Amino acid sequence: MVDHPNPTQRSGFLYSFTPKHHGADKGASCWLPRLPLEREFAIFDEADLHEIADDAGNYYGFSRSEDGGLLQLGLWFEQLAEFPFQDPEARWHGYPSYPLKGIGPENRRGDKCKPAKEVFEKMYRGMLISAQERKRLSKGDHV
Amino acid sequence: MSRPGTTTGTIDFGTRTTFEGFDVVWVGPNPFHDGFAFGSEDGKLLFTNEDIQPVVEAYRATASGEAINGLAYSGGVLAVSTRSDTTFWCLPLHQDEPGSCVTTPAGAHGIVAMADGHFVAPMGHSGLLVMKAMVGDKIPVGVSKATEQVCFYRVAILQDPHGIEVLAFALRRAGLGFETFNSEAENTRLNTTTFDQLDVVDVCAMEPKGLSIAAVGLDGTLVLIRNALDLDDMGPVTMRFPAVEGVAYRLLSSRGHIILVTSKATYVFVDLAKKFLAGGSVPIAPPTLVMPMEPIDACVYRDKLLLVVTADNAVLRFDLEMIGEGVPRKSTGSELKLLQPTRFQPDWRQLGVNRGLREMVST
Repeated sequence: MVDHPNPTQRSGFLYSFTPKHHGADKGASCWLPRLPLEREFAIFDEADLHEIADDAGNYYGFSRSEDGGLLQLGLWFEQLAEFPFQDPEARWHGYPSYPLKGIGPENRRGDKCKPAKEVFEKMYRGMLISAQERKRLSKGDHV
Repeated sequence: MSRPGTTTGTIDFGTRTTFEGFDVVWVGPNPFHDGFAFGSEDGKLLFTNEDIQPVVEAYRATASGEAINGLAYSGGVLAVSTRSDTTFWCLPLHQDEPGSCVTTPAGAHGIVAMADGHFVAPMGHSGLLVMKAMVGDKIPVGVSKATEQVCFYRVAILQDPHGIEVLAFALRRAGLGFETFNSEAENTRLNTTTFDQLDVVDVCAMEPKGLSIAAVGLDGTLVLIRNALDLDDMGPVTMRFPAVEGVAYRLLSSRGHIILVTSKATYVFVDLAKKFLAGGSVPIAPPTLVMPMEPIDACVYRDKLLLVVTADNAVLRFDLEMIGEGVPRKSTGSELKLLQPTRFQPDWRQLGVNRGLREMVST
């Protein structure tokens, strides 16, 4: 486990880079090895800055490439990242979030897929993504 | 329920219809009548005639209320997919009977119907959903996962000369995948082919009956294959069009044209598939109709029309016959150009991947 030295700008959240999502667990969604750790933290920092969270307090973020498109963040082609809610004082972590709700015991009937569509709406209202990107992402498509 | 309002105007080669009260994100053929089916961002379906006039009220077609990304119909069952779930509507045989529906609590990138009544849905890393349409309390749904790291992203149906269906997959970094469809087999063999840097995001058949296929990579790399089951026969033709802008979203083929939909425009490579399949080489610079827009999704309707859903809640309906013959005008920005491809010969790698079946029960 590697800790980032700085807290987030808005909330002062502390962040750690977890081995599980950096290749230690092949069954877990993992960040692209070529993505710098500083970029990973920046995605979390921006998500907190713009308060891009769902009702449960999970934050979501992305990063843009030089040409303006959304970067691929994860090994499974994810373009968004999820930062699950943490109790106060606990350190945060994150991982790339696949757009489809997968099969598994953790996905019970009634559970929402992530991010919830309200999150896309929040990103759109905040002018962080375009209408084209919102509509594509909400279908589970790449942008 | 409500019947959305529409406003239609004329554009080059077709019409532009805007919806009111219906956030359109997906389009496909109406499986019941002439016309189209539209899916909304909040999980509603709308059926229209060929003039894009609603023929029924829009209704919620998914349990999750998530954006619709696919629809297929077979054997009295209408299947609707979203990133959260796949819903199967068993339609009543008589008007006074209630319909019923079952939902699989897992998302897909789309869904297709096979000739024998099975549905096939690519579910990303979760695998491939295969199920038979039937009425009942619990419908067995097979979900199979490849033994290798494979992302099932898109699927197209091909047909060999004997009428046997072949599935062609866009597998992202794993490239292209092909397998003869056999709903009874517990384990099947998926043949994949790829090269470094290829990230396949869509596939399409190049002819109504045949094993030829076109595929596109995220960066616009175009792959043309004459026979999906015999890759050594001439081998894939691989090219890029440097003038193509944007991220590749969809690839379609109709009337011998190849249609590439990107984040910035729709490109119609006139007669490219026709000339490739005729055995001639790929033209040095095929005439290409370039139509700048912000697409969301697209489909071809009966080899006659091209429909593109755009970000401003509109549907562009193009007459493919007019495009093939047409003299382009520039009133709405469309332009006929001679786009020169860069052909290259990557180091294609082929791999056989086992796909085992496990069952999950729909509730």
